[in-house]
Amino acid sequence: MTHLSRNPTGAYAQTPKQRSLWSFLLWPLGVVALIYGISQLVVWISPYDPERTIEKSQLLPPSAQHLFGTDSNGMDIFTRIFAAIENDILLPVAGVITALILGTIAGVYAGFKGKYLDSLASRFTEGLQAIPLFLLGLTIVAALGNGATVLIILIAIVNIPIFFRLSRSTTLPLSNADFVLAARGAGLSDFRIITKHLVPNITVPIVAQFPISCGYGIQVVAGLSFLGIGIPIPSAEWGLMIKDGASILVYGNWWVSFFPGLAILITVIFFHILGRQISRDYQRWIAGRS
Amino acid sequence: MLSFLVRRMITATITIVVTVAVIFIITRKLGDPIAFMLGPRATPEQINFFREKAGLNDALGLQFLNYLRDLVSFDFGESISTGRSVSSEVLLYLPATLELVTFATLTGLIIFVPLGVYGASRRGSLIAKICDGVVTLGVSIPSFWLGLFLIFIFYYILELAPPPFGRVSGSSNVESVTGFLTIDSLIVGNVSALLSALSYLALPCLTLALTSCVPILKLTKEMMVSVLKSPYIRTARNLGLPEREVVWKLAFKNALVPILTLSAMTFGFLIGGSVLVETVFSWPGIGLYAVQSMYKLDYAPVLAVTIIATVSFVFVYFLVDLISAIVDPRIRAKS
Amino acid sequence: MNVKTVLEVRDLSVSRELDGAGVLMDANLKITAGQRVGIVGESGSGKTTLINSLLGQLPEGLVCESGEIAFLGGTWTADKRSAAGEAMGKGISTIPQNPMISLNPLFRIEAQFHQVLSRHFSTSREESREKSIHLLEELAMSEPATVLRRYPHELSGGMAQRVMIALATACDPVLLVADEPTTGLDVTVENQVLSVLRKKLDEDNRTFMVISHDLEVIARLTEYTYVMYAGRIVEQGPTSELLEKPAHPYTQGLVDCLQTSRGSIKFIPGNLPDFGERRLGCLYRNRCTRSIAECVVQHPAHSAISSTRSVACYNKVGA
Repeated sequence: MTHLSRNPTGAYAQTPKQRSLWSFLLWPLGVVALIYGISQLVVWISPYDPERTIEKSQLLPPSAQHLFGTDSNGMDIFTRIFAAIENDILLPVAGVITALILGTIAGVYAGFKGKYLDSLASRFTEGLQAIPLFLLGLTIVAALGNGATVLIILIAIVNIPIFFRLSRSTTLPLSNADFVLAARGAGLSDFRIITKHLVPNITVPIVAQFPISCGYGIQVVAGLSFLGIGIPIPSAEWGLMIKDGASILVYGNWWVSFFPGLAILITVIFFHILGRQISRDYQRWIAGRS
Repeated sequence: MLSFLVRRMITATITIVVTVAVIFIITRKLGDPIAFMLGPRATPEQINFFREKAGLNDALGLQFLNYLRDLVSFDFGESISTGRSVSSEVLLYLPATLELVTFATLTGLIIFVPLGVYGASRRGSLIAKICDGVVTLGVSIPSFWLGLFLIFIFYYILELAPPPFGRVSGSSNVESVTGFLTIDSLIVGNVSALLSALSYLALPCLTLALTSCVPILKLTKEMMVSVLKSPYIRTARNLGLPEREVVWKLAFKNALVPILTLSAMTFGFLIGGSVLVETVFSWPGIGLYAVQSMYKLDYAPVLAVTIIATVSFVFVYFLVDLISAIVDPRIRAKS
Repeated sequence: MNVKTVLEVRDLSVSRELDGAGVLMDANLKITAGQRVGIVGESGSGKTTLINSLLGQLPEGLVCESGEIAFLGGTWTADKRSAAGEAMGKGISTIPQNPMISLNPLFRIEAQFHQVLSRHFSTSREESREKSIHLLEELAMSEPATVLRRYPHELSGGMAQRVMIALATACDPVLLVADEPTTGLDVTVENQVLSVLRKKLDEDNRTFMVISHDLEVIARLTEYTYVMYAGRIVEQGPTSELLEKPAHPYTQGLVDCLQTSRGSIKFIPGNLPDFGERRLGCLYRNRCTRSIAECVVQHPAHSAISSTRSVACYNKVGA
């Protein structure tokens, strides 16, 4: 997983007046909401039910009636792809947001307070991050069972160390900066200092990391479902759909696995581009202010 | 040099202990560990009996110490489904994963390092843009999907690749010495077995390389671009040294350490990260072992594989730290 | 006496791509064989851009507006980077400003010598080693054999700079260029480096060009000097004459700073004009104690004072 740990140009001592961390997150969240809305619309319009098997239309190749063909249960793949957005995009995003909130708070606090708490937390996250991702997934599913909630927990657990380290490494060099000492001298409480002075400085790396983590989260959900231990059947989910098509692939039924995989690819690329755009936006905004 | 070594070893050990602790906490506290070990079909009597036997009524700290003690003696418990010790089974599956991961990392290095150096030396050109595209694609594509379609193209359509099952064709008979079928057949001189093993390795390696090794491409290109801008490269060019030598000998050596570190980390990462690809290709490695155990609700192997993979990763990382210090004299001096 | 011209720069002008602001304007320069030339000016005077143009290493964002460079029988414009770079690389060696970062950190000094020497003279490792020891001895380096075994980060600034001088001269370049060679060094070390460098230049009868903001350096190393201000050459002439009887007020100012008497520090008040402000008139007029009416209208053209000197000023010192 890539980290961005560049300090934004010039740490500043005041809360930016117009925009804050949340406003920059609104952007990608808005996009996600829009995508979800579109997916629900498509499912609603579609004449096919994404979870109902239909006899006599099994394994039809792509055609005018079934844009992406049908699977071995006769379900229309096009509709299912959009129905799966709920599981494949909303779910990872929810997990990443949870991780973002928890990890960032912990990271800023650790970077600010330093000393034992910081070392402890750092060693802990290092240990956590050494565990291979999918094996950790297997372990957690083994311990907690499968299903959407567990997946959200898994994604959160995996991403908390990332946001923790990001916000910690950005906050640490600032914790002894002059403006912090000045704020202390003025009598501000720790909480105030953190929220008003330190948080604005972590915005760039955090906001840029968010879509990247979402992208990986999508891969995790799809991968685990492909293994059969993620989202349970018969829900629509891209990894599941790929699994359905895997065994029949070698008989020539390529469309069953192809389109869901394409969906994953496009979505993850989309999130990466989104991430790049957000950081560029922010750099431009910072440059414009100073 | 020695103090450097010692310090790094301590850090590595701490990380491993923390990891094991985390896994321990997950399995002991989050779920019911006995049900975890016995699976959902155990009766209440069985559960109680094993609770006692497993010492689960002891204090948590004591449990952890016992757990660590077992680990150190490589006791991972027994597999519910097969009845054999997990550690013996892991030993059976491990070489396949190691062989796969070794070849995958090497493939990644062979493809991506020269590509990255080339892309860096011709900035803004088509090659550079292709590099960026490959990186984005490699990171975004689901590995299992890529594997499936490589099978579709090369096995189903082109009929070039062998069927995606196993490591070597059934007719080849190879004596297992190292567990690496390629090396073993080489030792014996069995050329057809060697070729067969390589053909079975080809697609899974390619899949792993194209998805997990692309950060090597990105890093190589970025490092080379940065190094090629530095004053000492300017000097070398000013002193009349040819561009080829400047790029490949003088600049590349300066980019080497991060590239090596990343390659080793990739290798270590892949040991635990080959789960999906092993499943797609039915490659009999520890990843497949863990997944199949999951299906059988046999959880001890899952735990064992997780721990082993993590420890391998940390160990590999430690080794590479060491080698970096040898290559770059400044690292030794700094610590 | 027909002395061969090694390098000639004709009407070279370089400006910023962004806004067309002039970085270097109408530079004319000539170096003859065996001559030691200095270019003096403050940061922003354009001297670095001049060097970069010569080496074909103009950074991104600068374009060559006009003019050409003639060297080794070939002629080209400053923005033909590859052509310039290739030819330059064969005949020009540079001694950079910061020697510590100009040596490859991963190779021992003897390896770096061998890379250069084997390329130019096809020497073996043993031959390279002998030759480099000899070169370092000429530069008064004590224990050269030990130095050769070291890595760059193990050297002091003065030692590193002498290594750079040795490397640069080892190629036997047609033109040796030094870019602020002692700026990064301590004053005592500076003295030493200047001495050995001057000695080496004399011994080899090398064609040499040094760029510096420090007149002291210029005084010790050169026989002919160009004074630059805000992108233009404002005065040129034999170094000794320039120092004794400067014609341009800026040169006078620089010389005054050099000869500070105890108790009072002389300086030239004011700053270089910003790129955007470099338009009409003499660019020095805002800091000049001798500015007159004509100075506002147009930048003065060069007028010869003698066969070897010229100055661009309406109100020369001593006029």
